[in-house]
Amino acid sequence: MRVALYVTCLVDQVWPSVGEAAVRVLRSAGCEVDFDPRATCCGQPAYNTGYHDQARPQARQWIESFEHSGAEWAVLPSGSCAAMVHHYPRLFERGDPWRGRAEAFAERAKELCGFLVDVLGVDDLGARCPARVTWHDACHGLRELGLRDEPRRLLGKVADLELIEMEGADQCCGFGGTFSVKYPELSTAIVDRKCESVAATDADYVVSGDVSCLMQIEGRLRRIGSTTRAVHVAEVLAGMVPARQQETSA
Amino acid sequence: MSRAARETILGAIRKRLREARLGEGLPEDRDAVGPAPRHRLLDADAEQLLTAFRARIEPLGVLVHEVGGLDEALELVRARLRDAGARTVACSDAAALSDLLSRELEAGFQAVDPGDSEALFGADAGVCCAQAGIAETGSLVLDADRERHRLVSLIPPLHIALLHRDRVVPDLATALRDALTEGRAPTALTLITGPSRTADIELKLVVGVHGPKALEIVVHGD
Amino acid sequence: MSGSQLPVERFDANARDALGDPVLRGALRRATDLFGERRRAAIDDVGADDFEALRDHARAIKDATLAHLDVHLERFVAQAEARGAKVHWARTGDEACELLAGLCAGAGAKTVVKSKSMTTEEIELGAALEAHGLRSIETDLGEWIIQQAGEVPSHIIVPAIHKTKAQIAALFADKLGTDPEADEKALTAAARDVLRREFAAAEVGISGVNFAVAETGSILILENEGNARFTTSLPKVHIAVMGIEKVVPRFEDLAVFLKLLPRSGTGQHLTSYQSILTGPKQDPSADGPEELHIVVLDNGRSRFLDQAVTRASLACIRCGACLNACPVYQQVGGHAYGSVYPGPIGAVITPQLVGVGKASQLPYASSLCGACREVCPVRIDIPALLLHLRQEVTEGHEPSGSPFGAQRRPAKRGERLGFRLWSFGVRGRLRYEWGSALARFGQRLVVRGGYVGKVGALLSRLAPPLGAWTGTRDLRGLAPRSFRARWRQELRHQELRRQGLTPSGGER
Ligand code: SF4
Repeated sequence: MRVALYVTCLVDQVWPSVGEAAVRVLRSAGCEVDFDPRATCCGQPAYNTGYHDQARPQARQWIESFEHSGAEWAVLPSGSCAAMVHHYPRLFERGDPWRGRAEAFAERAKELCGFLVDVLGVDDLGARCPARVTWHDACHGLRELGLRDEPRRLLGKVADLELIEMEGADQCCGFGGTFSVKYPELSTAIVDRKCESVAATDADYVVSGDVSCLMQIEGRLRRIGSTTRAVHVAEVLAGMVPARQQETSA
Repeated sequence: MSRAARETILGAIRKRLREARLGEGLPEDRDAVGPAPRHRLLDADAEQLLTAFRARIEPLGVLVHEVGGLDEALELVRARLRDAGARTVACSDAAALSDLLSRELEAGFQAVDPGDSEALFGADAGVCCAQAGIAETGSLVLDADRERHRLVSLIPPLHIALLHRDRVVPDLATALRDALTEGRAPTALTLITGPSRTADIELKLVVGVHGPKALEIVVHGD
Repeated sequence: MSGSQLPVERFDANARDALGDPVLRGALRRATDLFGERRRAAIDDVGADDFEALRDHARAIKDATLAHLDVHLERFVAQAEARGAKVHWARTGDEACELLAGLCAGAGAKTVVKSKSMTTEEIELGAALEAHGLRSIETDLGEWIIQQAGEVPSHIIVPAIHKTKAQIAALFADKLGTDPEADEKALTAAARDVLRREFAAAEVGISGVNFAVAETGSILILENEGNARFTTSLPKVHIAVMGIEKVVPRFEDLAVFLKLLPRSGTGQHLTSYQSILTGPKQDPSADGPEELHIVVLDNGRSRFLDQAVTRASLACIRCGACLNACPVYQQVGGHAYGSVYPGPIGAVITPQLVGVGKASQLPYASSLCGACREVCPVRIDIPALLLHLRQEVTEGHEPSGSPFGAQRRPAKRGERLGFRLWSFGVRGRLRYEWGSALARFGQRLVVRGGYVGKVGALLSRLAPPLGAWTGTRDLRGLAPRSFRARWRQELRHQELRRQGLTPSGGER
């Protein structure tokens, strides 16, 4: 099956190992992966801040990219960017031909975990990760795309991985895009609660499906001196996450 | 002023709805909405209804007594009043309760007129009949057009209500439907589910803030 | 006596102050956690599937009613009048206050008892009545505490959620002379005594309305304490104030909303009391008021009707569930919103009521996590409303027909410019790649070991959005090599090799 991978701009620039992991995971699930460098950012920062005129060109950029790709599915290692694609039709008026194209794209756009489990019917990717991990439900993946069981099923099949549910796994991390810098104290107060829950699990890693949440959680964990590290679920599924003992001894 | 306001408000509503209709369109009217989901208790028998009723109301600290006929019920009410140390008792004008206090009076208790609000503030207990019970929520239904119990059930600190066992209906919708007479609602229909309570101070439950501190229900009928 | 709201324009500053108050935050956390747990328990108890079906049904009723609101409202009024109620209409809060003051004067009132009502808070009725020389007494315990303290409510269900028992005990000791160490039982008993005297003396009772029924002309008021029953049955005159959106078509529809509201708000299967009132008493020997007045208030609500997204905000049944579920509300409480309507629903209603320009911060007072939508019993898509209002903020629109045109604040120049630049940078591949290369070069000033840590944070303060992040959080810097670079150099070729092709020079 041919899939077009949209790694999202944050993965591309800040956390490229997630994109690499997504490529590996998709290939091991039997997909032929394509990546179009013309697609940059999905437009979410502008859309969520109320700048629809600046978000619209990005929607067109991605729609065109997918139309040219000839792929069956668009796969994104990010719940919020996948949710953004699902919002694309709202950027175009009724009767605008772009609206229909946006709807067609939205139907074919899947978040990585949802794609693996719900479309491919795969949950065991043969990965190994000898560590204690806890899962953070990124809000958009959970509440806009309904992904609750999919990532847990995937993690459940990872060899030697111990999954410890934190309290309030489905509570927001306080990132919220520009919210995190418009109201930094508030955003920090919210992530502090998340960090508390993470700490209570004594996990080596906090795992999530969205790099934006991970940057927020990681940023705060590091600042308060926690040793728990943040990793993306794709990295776990690709077997790219080392056991913590190895890392600390290295 | 109010007339003009009425026209302005209704005019504004109509104008906005017209715009909406031209734009994205509007849903059909209420009649197009199907029936409410059916409550599972609609298939229960009288005994199951009473069990469900008790299961909902007892955890709220309400005492439910089951007795046989009306005489037995009145006897129990008197005993409960005595146990509670009630000296002044207000009783609604329900026919079923007409004998309740005559004997209490002999025992030296004072009766309070159910309509005398000033005296009600000094009453120790209020007794009335409930027109129905609701199994789904454990509620009592009081219809003020059938009986004078609006204040009797509110002001004294102890409220005792008689409920006939055949009058427990499955759910809220049934109770509301039953309360209408040819489409007319009673002047005051009061649903009572437990004692008066508040959690306004640190969310700690306190009963008896304005209304009764205690509610007891005497279920009767053979 | 009644307090005033914090400035709605300054959510940021209000929120910062709230975050600095550990007592408040402790109280909020306990309260919102508890309500969340109770809500879940109540829903589990009735079965999640049944509850979901009820939610759909309730929303369908609301949508269908709002789509023909004029018809249902007129029917309600006709039925209420047929039963002897006097109905009055008020376009604005001021008009409503004048009307109510006039009605109280007509009843010869000196003392007015009020039961909790968000609508009367919205129009600041208490202050208006006091200005007319009336004593206006809040009778819900929480509201009464707030009134004694000269504050405003911070939650739509539990007005004094932000106050601790110790604070309340001190307040009562000061006002009533009670023991400063009194517990909640003693405090409640003290309030009961005082308020019973007020109930007995009051000539007029003023309540809100939770639902109004078109079929029968009835109004329904929900409560736990019994103060609304006193307010609506003891004084000679009862005045009920309702927004135009409160109407439901049928008497039986009440059942649907009664099953949803308390379970969502406080996790109760039903509140202690529902008073369903139709007209004043007809029989002189019956209990209840001799006169019933119903004030129907617009105050900007009709403006919400023309678009589906804003119309949805009129479906709200004021249960408070979205407040309890909101991570922002959980941290800062209600006062920070500077409005009687706090939390997620406040963040969408307030700007529509007072002007998007004036309340321009509120639509941004959310991380868009969607917890509010998840718990809302009538499934209001609050995040969609927030996004809609954010667009109105950036584009400088006020809702059509609103009186706020002149209040419009100038567009946020810096942010707008920032997004234009950003847009330029991401619209084309080459600009994007060069832009990120430039950023990669620039970040060397502040990134150490892959992150902007505490040291880099100092310098980051020069670039405000960056500094806002790094003040409290480390920031992962741009990776030395982007994904696209890795794709070009290795990953893509692996794919081609897999397919048995050799890499060609050209790239797509
Ligand atoms: S928006 Fe929904 S959850 Fe919030 S108060 Fe209104 S009905 Fe309740």
